[in-house]
Amino acid sequence: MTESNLAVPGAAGRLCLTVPADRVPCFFPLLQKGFVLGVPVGCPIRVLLRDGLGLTDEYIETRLQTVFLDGKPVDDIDGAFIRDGETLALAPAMPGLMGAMLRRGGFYAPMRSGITHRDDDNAAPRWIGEGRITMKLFGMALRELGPKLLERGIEVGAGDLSEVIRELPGDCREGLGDLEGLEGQARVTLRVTIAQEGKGTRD
Amino acid sequence: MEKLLRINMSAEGGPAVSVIPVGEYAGLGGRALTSAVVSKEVPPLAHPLGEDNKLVIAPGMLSGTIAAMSGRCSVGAKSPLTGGIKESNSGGQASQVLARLGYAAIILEGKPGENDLYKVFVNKDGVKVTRDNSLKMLGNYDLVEKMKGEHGDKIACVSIGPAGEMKMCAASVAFTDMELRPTRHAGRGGLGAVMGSKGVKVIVLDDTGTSHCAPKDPDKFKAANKTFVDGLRKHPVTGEGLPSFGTNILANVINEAGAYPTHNFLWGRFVGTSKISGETEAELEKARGGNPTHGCHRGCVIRCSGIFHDKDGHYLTKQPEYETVWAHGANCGIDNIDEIAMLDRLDDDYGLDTIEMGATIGVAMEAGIARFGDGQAAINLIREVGKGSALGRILGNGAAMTGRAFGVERVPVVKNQALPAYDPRAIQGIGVTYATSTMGADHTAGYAVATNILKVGGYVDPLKPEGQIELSRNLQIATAAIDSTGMCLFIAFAVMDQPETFQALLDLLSAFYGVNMTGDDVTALGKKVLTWEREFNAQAGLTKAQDRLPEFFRKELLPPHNVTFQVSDADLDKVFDW
Ligand code: SF4
Repeated sequence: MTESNLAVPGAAGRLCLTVPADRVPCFFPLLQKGFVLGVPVGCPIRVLLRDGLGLTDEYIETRLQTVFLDGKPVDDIDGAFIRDGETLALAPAMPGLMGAMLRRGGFYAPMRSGITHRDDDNAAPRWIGEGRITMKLFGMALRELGPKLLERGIEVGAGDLSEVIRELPGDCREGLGDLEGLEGQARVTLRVTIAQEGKGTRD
Repeated sequence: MEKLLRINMSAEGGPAVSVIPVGEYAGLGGRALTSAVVSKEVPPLAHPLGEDNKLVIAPGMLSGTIAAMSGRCSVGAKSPLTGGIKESNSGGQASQVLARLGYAAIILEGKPGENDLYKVFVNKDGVKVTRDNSLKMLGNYDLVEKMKGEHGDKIACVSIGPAGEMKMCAASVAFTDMELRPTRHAGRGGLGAVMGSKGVKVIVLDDTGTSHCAPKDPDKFKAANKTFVDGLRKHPVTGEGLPSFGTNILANVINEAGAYPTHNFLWGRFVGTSKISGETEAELEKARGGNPTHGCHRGCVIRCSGIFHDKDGHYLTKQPEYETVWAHGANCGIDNIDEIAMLDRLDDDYGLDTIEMGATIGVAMEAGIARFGDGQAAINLIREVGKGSALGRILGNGAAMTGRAFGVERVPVVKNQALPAYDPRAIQGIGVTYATSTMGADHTAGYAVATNILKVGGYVDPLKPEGQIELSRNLQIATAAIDSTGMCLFIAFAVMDQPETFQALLDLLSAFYGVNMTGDDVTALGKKVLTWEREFNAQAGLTKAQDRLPEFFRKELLPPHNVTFQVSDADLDKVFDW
């Protein structure tokens, strides 16, 4: 993944935290529920993943076998375009018959044809450039992509963030100070610096 | 596995034990054996709780060997829930132990005249059936502790809790795991009630002094097992996703697909999913000193199960799996994983099917008995079932009974059995399997091996509507076959994607039986099993009219995709045309 920082335009508050590596998973519920990222839009999903997130084709092929665009399973990530405001969910191959059905281009894809993303759902992107999408990460994609995206900065709902921070273990909350101010914000840009050891801090 | 253990519970003077050669059932195991016995020996019109029904407990064809993943055990009977034939299978230790003791199956027959409870003890020296009314109404956990005290900790138990004794249609048959806890269940179809009707509280198995079942060709068997294990370890689902997060890794993706039934199948998305997902569950288990990577029996290399600790770091239950978390979670609007884990613990202790009970509580919530999202109320309702109160007796008999008792229209059942955790409006193909399965709504009925490897029924054109019918049929055939081997269905992904892993499975079977098994043989076995089951059901009065989803799936739009179930009745009726 590229190290460049993509700003999240439009987010109101900003919170930078330093947490030990073993506490990073505490933030994973936010990444599952959905977070906003500034990314190139109007391009095929593959282009976004490659150029926007810096993922290699090999990673995309072998690790991201389940892809949803606005809740619709995608079979062809080269033919499906992402537009401003849409939701992209990324996951690896999933277990069971249901996992097989949802896998992109899989043999069992016809069994969910009623909800499959079709080219004509968004064949003609109206605008190409920077935009904001909601992204969700599941399974190993959460562990593999989540920490880097947290370091880069994501926009989340302030209420959801407060809930996560309240649930953090005490040693991790130490040094974070008064977070009550978050409640007043609708959205917050969160950036997490991962400390190799030691306590959490608020910059 | 050359002998059958038959116990006639109606015999004069008390239960009569006979150990006989396996005879006409030779070469069968798991679901093939349970369905063969039930279809040949149980009159289809017999009352499920009467003396003519039989409860068959059969290890898989490869159970008791060193083959990885081979420890699933099938339980079969005429189901008090569906009124048709039933096979429900479970992990746990019993399958391996029973096979090493040389039994292809235990068959409980007849019905005791008095209201007595019995314990069956089986070891290499023989079988002992003892009347023991001190076991009455013990939960599975206390029961197993008592058995440990009496027989030591080298045993495996197959048991029922109070729900089975009360002959409830949601009652399960419990199997102990590697830690000798009653956490694995043949849950579906009320088979615990059949065991209760036989007066058998627990079967204690002790394989001390026995050894692995020997294959006819040990070298080929060993080599095939190595290839098989390598295939499972290298595949991202079986080697990584399932061990890391368990089956509940599905929650987020099914939710994203809009197919995660929420508030008694009202919606396809649950706002609290990220709080109860497999990813969140695994992190919580690690933080509390539990373990998200654990096998349900020795020889499992995937290890999709886990250990769940409470807030104080004490063992509460096994890692609640996908269906359980959905049934007690999203389906009831509950997003608190600790409350869901407590419901799982109570279900295991009372001996209840978690899917049926989650669906039942969803229906009860729809009826206004409790509020959606109220986890404590759900816990109280399950406790009512354990106590056997009047309300508990209604709930313990499942979603269909509860819907009738409280006048609820949206009752998600097929053949009276509650639907599992995938809404068939969003994923139409699974609806075909739910509707037509011989077992009632059952996700595992069409869960398994790739038809493109087995080449069952030839190539399926995915663009044609009938493709869904073909796929469902082929999956049901393949699943019936896999359920007969004793293999856990989670091998499916590796077998599906990696031809050499599928070949290794065939080689394991071939080397064990000294035959040359092909994909066609597996297909033929699956078809044979389904044919027995269909014939039994037809004679039991289950017709095409029961091969249908409830009406609301065709009438009510499911958000967010706003879809209804579209597969026609005529197409559903084609599933078993082969
Ligand atoms: S993969 Fe899971 S269900 Fe299958 S045998 Fe292993 S622990 Fe049991």
